[in-house]
Amino acid sequence: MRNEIDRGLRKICLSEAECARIRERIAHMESGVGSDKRKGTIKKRSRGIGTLKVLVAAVLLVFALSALCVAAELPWKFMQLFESVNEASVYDGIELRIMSAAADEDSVMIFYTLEDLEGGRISASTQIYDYNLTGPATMGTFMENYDEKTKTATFLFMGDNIEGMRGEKLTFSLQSFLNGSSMEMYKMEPNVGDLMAKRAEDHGEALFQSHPADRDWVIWNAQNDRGAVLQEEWMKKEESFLLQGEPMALSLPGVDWVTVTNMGYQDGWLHVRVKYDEEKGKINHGYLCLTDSTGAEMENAILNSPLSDGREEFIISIDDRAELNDLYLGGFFTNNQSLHTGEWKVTFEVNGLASKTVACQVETEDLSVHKAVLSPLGVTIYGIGEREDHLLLQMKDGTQVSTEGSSGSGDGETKEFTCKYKFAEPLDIDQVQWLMISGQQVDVL
Amino acid sequence: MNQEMMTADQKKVDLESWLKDYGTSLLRMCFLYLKDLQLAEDIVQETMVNAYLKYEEFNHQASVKSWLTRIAINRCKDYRRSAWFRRVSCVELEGLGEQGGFLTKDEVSDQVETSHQYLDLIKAVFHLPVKYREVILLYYYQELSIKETASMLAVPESTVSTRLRRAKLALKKTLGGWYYDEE
Repeated sequence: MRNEIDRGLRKICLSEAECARIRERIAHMESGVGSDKRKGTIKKRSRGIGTLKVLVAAVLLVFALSALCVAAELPWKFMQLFESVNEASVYDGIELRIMSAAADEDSVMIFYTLEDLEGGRISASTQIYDYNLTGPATMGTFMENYDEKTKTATFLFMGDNIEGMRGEKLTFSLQSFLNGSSMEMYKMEPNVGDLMAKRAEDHGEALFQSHPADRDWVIWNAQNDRGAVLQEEWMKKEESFLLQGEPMALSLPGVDWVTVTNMGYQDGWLHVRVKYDEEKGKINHGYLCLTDSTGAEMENAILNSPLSDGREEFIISIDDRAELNDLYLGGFFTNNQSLHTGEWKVTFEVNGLASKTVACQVETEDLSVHKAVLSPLGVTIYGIGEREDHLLLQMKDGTQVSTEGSSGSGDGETKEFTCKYKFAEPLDIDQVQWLMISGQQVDVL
Repeated sequence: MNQEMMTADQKKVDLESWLKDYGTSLLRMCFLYLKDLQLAEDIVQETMVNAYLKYEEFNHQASVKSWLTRIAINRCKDYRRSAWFRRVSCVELEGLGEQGGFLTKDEVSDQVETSHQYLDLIKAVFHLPVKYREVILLYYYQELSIKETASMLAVPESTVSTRLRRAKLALKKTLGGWYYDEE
């Protein structure tokens, strides 16, 4: 079987370029830059936009956003902790300037600006697309402010899980950014029932055709848990059907790169075929869904079949066709107009915030913790086993503080992990009396 | 040359050996496990880096291949468990052809029947539930023993045997006439 698999996958090989990346990463770690000696983390590379389908891009964004959710309200409360940096890089008339940064032992927050010195390529809708900072395992960035007068956008970058970062030089680099609208819900009128009636009036009832014999070329994408169950059911079908022809050309209002080309209902499934603009489809992402009359997304199970030539067919579970009269076609999509690429790179240093290391011996059935490090930004736990969602800290004045959000990295083999639990606002670590880890009190001396 | 320098040099030599001897098979295994080529590349990168960092901890009781496979499969499992991966779960095989991954349709049509069979097998493996897919990948593709496979998956050897049997039945059903049993 090994030989047969190897023959089928003969084009998949570890390339010399990938080997070089591995050597480079190891050399980078050995040189001590960024002290990237953490375990179990993936240094993410930017994925080729055109190589993966739309859903994948959407998911990546969700991942980035989820990492930022915790941070959304944080930066301004921590302003007093930021050190001025004021170092810049200019490429193609656009300036990237690192304004200030706050860092502790293993995380960093950076305010930086983008300003177009020559034109209007930076706007309130600019989104950072491909960027990097030496060291962090998890990172995210988003716009904090846009100054209409100076046409300057201010962004916040947050990176976590850096080991031994204090005193190290950091290099922030930017390779590309997008201009356009961020991911939003778009809804089409009238309701799906009426759209289907209009479709029947103009083009007749939808026809379906058996999926080509090579349907196994496609793996259906399930967009929620119920979808995953239905995906399994679908895969068991003896025969599957997709819409035949593309007689329609409906645009989602506000989205200029997604066109609905056919709709039909069969056997409890609503089929919606969409076509993506060739160029804009490469820099945009999103997914189709059904909404109620207010535009709220309904939780219908959805499969979608990636087809060739920038097309997809969304297949949505609808038990009763009459339901279509109360449902609307919608979707979460970005609407970016352009991708700007370049090479902006700034190397800088931050002194970092004072921290306090707490030796501890927490031993439970599921968790063993031997070290915790407190900083005004949060508390980092070094342990083995199952991580907790949050920690509780007792202050010397009797008040209690609960951490809000966390990010971590771990080794799946040994279960060793490092987890940074974030504070909602700066904490005076000298006033912490104890912290509670897995039900055990750890005194902070 | 002191011991530390010898170890450092040996590590570099070994790394090149790992990349050459096991890199591609690990990449293919991770690809079949995760259905995502770029993610598979990330996993292999992480596997090699981790192995390099843990070089001194490797006690040579297991084979290097088994050791690297263990790291890679654990990393794959971690990824599959992540909320991020659960929402991705997609891949378009046809599209991968152009990226140097899969055979394209045209290529397929140019192949003799046996090529179809290889692809059919891969597609069938892709469609296996993950618990069956992982035993197939470890036992048949990486050619590990039942004992090693069980150890890697942290399940009893009897469970591996059962899963292998069921996986083979599933493959047999999918592959129809083209199927052969192997032990």
